[in-house]
Amino acid sequence: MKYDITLERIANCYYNLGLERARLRDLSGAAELLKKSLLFDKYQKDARNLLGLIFFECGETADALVQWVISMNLNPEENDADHYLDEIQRKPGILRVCSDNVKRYNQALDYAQHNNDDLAVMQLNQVIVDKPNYIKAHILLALLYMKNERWVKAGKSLFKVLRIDRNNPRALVLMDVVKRKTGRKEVEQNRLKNVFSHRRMADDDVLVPQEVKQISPWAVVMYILFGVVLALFCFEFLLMPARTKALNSKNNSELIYFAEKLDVSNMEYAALSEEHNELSSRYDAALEKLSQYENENASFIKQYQTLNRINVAYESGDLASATMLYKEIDESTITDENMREFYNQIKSYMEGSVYQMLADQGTAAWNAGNIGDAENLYKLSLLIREEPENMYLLARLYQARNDMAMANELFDRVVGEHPESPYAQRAREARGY
Amino acid sequence: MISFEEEIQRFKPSLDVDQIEDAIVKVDLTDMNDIMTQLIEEAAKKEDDRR
Repeated sequence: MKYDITLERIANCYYNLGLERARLRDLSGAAELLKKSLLFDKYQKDARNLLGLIFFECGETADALVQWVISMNLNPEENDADHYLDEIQRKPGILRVCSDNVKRYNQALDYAQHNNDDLAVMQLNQVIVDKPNYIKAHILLALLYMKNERWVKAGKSLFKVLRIDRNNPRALVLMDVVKRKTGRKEVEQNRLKNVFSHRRMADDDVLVPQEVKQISPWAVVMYILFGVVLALFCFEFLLMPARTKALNSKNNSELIYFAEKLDVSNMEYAALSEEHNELSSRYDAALEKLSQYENENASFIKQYQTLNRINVAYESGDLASATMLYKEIDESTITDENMREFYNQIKSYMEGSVYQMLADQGTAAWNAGNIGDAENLYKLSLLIREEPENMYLLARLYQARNDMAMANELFDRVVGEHPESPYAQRAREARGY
Repeated sequence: MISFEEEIQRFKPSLDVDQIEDAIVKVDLTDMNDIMTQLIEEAAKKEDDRR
């Protein structure tokens, strides 16, 4: 029938107007137009879907779902509502959160309607945190703030509403009250007045200069002085502290930098010093060891030479020299095995026969009347081995030479050191006790 | 001047997600087309009765 097409056209017109309003974020106006569109044609799916979207944007999720479900029932083919419902169903958490928020909002509304303003405000604040675009909650919260004359907070809530829905009638009315209460209204009016009061200058307009006051020279001087004082004051109390602080900061950072550098240098110096000490001690030890080796080597050579000379003297019959050289050797200093063997060989004939040969030569010299030679030969014999017989003979020689002190000393030694010897008794007798 | 008490009493509870089914059932989907059809049907009926 003809009126069908007419109704569809009217519905479409309303839908277009609603869409335009929605694009301008006039959601309330858009919703009214879309409802009218649906009143003319309930099958206008775009209008219904857009109405659902507007409800969703305003935080009314359940109303949005109602519209989309109806839209799907009326127009199941190629309907955007299917996509919206899919989006909601794909995230079941959204529905749970929406349901919780609606319950809390309804609870807050109940509190507000029964004069429990504080509880209502608390609930609404929680709702808004979870769902910042819940217009009804914002408006109710603003109303409660206004009731308690908290105009600024009410204004903030209403401002949020008007950002979502630019022409929300209830929010506009409340905002007007808030502006009047906070004095904002007058400010805005004045501003508007100033904006629209500007006009272009016409050619015949004349700028009338403001009255110039005649200032006396003294006043000029005073002004200049005042300016200088003010400049000095600013320099001293505003610029200087900042400058001083900056310089101090720079100096401190430099000081810290150099202190750190000094610490590092000190640490390096300590490490090097320690290394130097260690190397010095190692050098000293090495030097000492070297010196020891040199000494040992020198001693070894000297010992070898001495032993060799003893052997040569012995083989050549120079027993006196051999004896003197033999006494020079300190047995304890011989460490080399071969050297010790050589020494033992010499020792065996020196202490085994040479001492006696010297004593015999001494006796022979004494018998020949060479008392001096005899004394030397006996002494040499005793140097090798202190045999009691030879000690006794030397003592007797001293006695014969009338050197009683030396004689007695030797007699005493024979008695004291060799008491078991047969010469001990003879020494005692010669000594006279 | 706004009466806060009156304003607050004017607020209605929001529709909960659990109540969607009831809400859908309760929605009046009558549009102008339905009304026109109904009016035409009534007019035709009256015409038939008169005859």
